[in-house]
Amino acid sequence: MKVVLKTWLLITYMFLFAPIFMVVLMSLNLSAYGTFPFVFTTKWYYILFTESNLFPATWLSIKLSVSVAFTAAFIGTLTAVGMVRLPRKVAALYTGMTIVPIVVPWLVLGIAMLLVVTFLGLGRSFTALFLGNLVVTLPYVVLIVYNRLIDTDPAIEDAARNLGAGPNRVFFEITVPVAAPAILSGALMSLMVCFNSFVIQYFLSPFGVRTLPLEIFNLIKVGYRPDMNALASILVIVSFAAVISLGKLGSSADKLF
Amino acid sequence: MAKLEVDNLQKSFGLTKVLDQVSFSLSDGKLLSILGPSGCGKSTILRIISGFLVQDSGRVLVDGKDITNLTPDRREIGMVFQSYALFPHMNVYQNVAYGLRTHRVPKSEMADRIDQILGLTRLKGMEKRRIQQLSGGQQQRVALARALVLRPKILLLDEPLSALDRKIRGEMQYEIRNIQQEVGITTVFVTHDQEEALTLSDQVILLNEGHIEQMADPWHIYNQPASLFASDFLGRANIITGTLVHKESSWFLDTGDFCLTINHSEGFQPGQKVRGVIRAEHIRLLDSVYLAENQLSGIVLSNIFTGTVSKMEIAVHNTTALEVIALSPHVAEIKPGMPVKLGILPADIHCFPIREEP
Amino acid sequence: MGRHNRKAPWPLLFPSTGILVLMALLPLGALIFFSLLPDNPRPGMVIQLALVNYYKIFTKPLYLTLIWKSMRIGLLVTISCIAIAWPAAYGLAKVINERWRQTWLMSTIVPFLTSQLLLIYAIMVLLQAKGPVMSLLGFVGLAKSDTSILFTPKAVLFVLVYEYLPYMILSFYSTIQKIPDSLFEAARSLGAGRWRIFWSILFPLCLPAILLGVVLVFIPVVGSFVEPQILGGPDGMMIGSVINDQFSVVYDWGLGAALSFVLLLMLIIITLIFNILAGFATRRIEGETTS
Repeated sequence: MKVVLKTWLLITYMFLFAPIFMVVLMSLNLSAYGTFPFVFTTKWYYILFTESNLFPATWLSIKLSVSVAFTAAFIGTLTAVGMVRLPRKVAALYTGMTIVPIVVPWLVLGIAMLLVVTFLGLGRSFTALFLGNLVVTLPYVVLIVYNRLIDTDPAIEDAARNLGAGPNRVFFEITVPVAAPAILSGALMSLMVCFNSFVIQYFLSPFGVRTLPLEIFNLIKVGYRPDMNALASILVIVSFAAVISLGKLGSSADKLF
Repeated sequence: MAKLEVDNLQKSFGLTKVLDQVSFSLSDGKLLSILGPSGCGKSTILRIISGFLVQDSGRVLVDGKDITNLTPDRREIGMVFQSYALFPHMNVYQNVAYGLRTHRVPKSEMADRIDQILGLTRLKGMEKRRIQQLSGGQQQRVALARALVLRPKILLLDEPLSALDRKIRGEMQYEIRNIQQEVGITTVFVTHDQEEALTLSDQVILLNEGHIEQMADPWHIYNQPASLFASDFLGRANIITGTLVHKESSWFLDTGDFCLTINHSEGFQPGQKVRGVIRAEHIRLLDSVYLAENQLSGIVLSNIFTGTVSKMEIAVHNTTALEVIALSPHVAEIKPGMPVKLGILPADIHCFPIREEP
Repeated sequence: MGRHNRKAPWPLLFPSTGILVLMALLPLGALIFFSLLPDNPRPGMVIQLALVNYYKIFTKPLYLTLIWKSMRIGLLVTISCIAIAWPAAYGLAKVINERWRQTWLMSTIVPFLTSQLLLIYAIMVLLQAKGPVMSLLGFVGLAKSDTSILFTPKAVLFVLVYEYLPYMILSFYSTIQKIPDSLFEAARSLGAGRWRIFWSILFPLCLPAILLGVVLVFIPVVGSFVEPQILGGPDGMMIGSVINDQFSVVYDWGLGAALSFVLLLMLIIITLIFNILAGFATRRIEGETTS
C-alpha cells in the first residue's frame, strides 16, 4: 500500500513538472523543434535578448507588479491588524468578503470590472489595471498576515506596553516586526500573482499597451517559437526562486489558500 | 518598592459581575498570592492593577497615589505573563533591554543593569540566545529579568509556573521566592495551585466568583478556613451535615447517626443546621493516638496508595463515608473490610451555618 | 481577551474595504444592471433597461448548450483532479519521509506562481505533433506520431487538469495532514478493514477538502476561456469563449454581461448545492456511526 501511494505521488509530480522541464530542456537544444539528438546551445537565449523585443513588456510588468505588491502589502497589513481586533466571527465574515476576488472566475470578474470602469469613465487604463490587480492580490496578503497575527501571542503587545512603550511604539517595534516575514510572503505572493494575472490584464490594459503575459498570449497564439522556450525557462526559474523565498520566510504551501 | 492598596474594585463584563468589592492592601516587600478556581476573577485583578482593564469603580493606589488614570506604559508596574510574552524577534539581551530603551536609560547604565539582573536570574552567557532556543524555565527567567530590570514598584506574576513541568515548577517556586526577597519587591502572584500559593506567600487571598472569601497568611488560611468554600477549596475535606446541640456547657454536632464534640464559635445557636468540615488528614486512626473525644468506629471501604500518602474511604455507622489521608507507611496494613477506630479533635471540625433559603 | 476591547478597527479596514467594494463587490453586483442595458455602457449614457439579452440567451440553444458543456467539462476536470490528488495528497501527508515533505509541498506551488500561459505553452510543446508524447505513442503504435490531440476538446481537458491539479493536492493535503494517525490506528484496532476505514473515517473527514476543491477547481474551470481559445480548436469552445467574444470580437457587452451573470448565478447555486450535499453526507455518516 505504501509503495503504491509513493509511486502514485511520484507519477503525479512527474506529470506536474515534466512539461516544465521539457521546455527548459528544449530551450537549451539546438534543434528548433525539440528533436533529438540533444545539442547544447544558448542560441535561443541570445535571440530572446536581442531580437524578440520583449524588454518593454517585461519592464512594464515588473513596474506594475512591484507597485501593486507594495500597495497590497501595505493595505493588506493594515487590514489584517484591524481584523485581529474584530471578534472572530466578524473577522471570518470579512475574510469571506476579501477572498471573493479569488474565488470568482476571473473572466467574470474581469468583465465586471471592465464594465464598471467604463461606466465610471475610467475605461481601460493604467488606473483600472492597477486597481484590478490590487483587488486580486490583496486577499493573499490579508490571509497570510492575518493568520500570522492570530498565531502570535496577544500578550506580547501587552508586555511591551507594560515595559513602557506607547501604542505607536508597540505597533512599529513589536506588531510589525513579528509579522514581517508574513508581510514579505504576502508581498511576494502578490508580486507573482500580479505578474501573471493574464485575464485581469487582458480586460483592463489600455489598448495598445502590452504587458508580458499579453505579449506571451499573442506569441503562443501564433504558435511554437524556440525563443519562447528560453523565456518560459527564465520565468519558471523565477517561480522556483519565489517559492524558495516563501519557504525561507516560513510560509507553508498548505496555508496559502 | 512600595505599598499596594486596592480599594473596593468592581468590574462587570456585560451582565456578568467579575469583581465585587475587592479590597486589600499589601505592605512593602511582601508577596501576596491570589488563589482561586479558574474564572474567579484573579487575572482580572492583575489586568486592572497593570492598567490593561479599567475598573467600573474603585481605586488602585501605589504608595498612596491613585494610578487609575495612568496608561499601562506609565504605571511602573512590572508584569510576568502566563505565556511569558517574550518578543520572538529579539534575543535574550534585546528582550531584557527593551524596557530600558523605552525609558531612555543611558547606554552605560543600561549595560550595568542588564548585567546585574542577568546575574540574579542566572542567565549570564545566554544574552545572544534566541527565545525559541530556551527551555521553559529559562524563558520564565527572561520574563522575570525583563520585568525586574526596570526596578518597578510592584511586580505582578500571572500564573507564571503553569506552563512548566512539575519538577521545574518546584525549582522555579524557590527561585522566584529567593529573587523576590533579594530584590525586596512588593509582589502579587496569581495562581490556581494551592500548594504554590501556600509555599510562596506572606499573604494569601482566596477569591471565589469575584469576591474575597478570606485573606490570611498561609497557616491560617489552611487551618482556620473562614468559609465553607475556603475549607473545601484547600486540601481534601469531608463535609457532613447536622444540627448544633448545646449540652452541659459543651457544643455538639449531631448528624443523626453520631455526635461529635466541637469547639464553640461566635454566633452558634442550638438547633441550627450547619455543615461541618473536617480535613481528610485530620481524621486519625486510633491505634496510634489516644483521644478522649470523638471516637468513631468504621469499616474500611478502600485504601489507595498514592506515594507519600494513602487515601482511605471509611464507612462510619454504615451511613457516612469519610475520606481519610495518612502517611503511607502508617496504614500499609489496613485492608478493605477491616474495622477501624477513628478520632477527630474538636478543633479540627469547622462548622458553617447553612443559609436558609428564603 | 485583550485584543477585542482595544481601539476601533474600522479605520484600518477602510482602504481595503474601499478597493473591494469598488473593484469586486460593486462590479459583480452591477453585472445584472449591465446585463439589462441593450447598448454598451459609456459615461453619461441615457439608461434604458430591457430584457433583450436574456431573451437572446434563452431562445438560442447555442448558449445553453455551451453552458451545459462547460459544466460537464468542469465536473470532469474536478473529478479527475480529485482522483489524482487524493492518493497523492495522502501519500504526501502520511507516507513520505517528513524530511522531504516540505520540499514536495513547496514545489506544489511552483505551477501556481508560474504564468497560466506558460503552463498552457508547456503542454502545447509536450503534445504537439512529432513532439515527445506523440513520438512515444507513435513508436509504441498507439497513434500516428504526426497527429496530435492539440486543438481538440481533449487537449482542453488535459491542460485544465494539469493547471488545477496543484490546488486540489494542497486542498486535500491540508485536510488529511490534520487527521491524527491515531484515528486510523484506533479504527484498525477496533477491527475495521481498509474499505471501512476509508468510508467511515477518511471520506467524511475529507469532505471539506472536496468542497474547497470545488471552489478552487470547478468554478474557475467552468469559466475558463484562454485554454479553449489556444488549444481547443473549432470544437473546443466553452461558454467563456463566447463571453470573451462579446467583449473582444462582437462588442455586445450587454449580452456578455447577461451571460456572465447567468454563469455566475449557476456557479453560486451549484456551490450551494455541493455545500448542502456535503452537510447532508456528514450528518448521514455521523448518524450511522452514533446509532
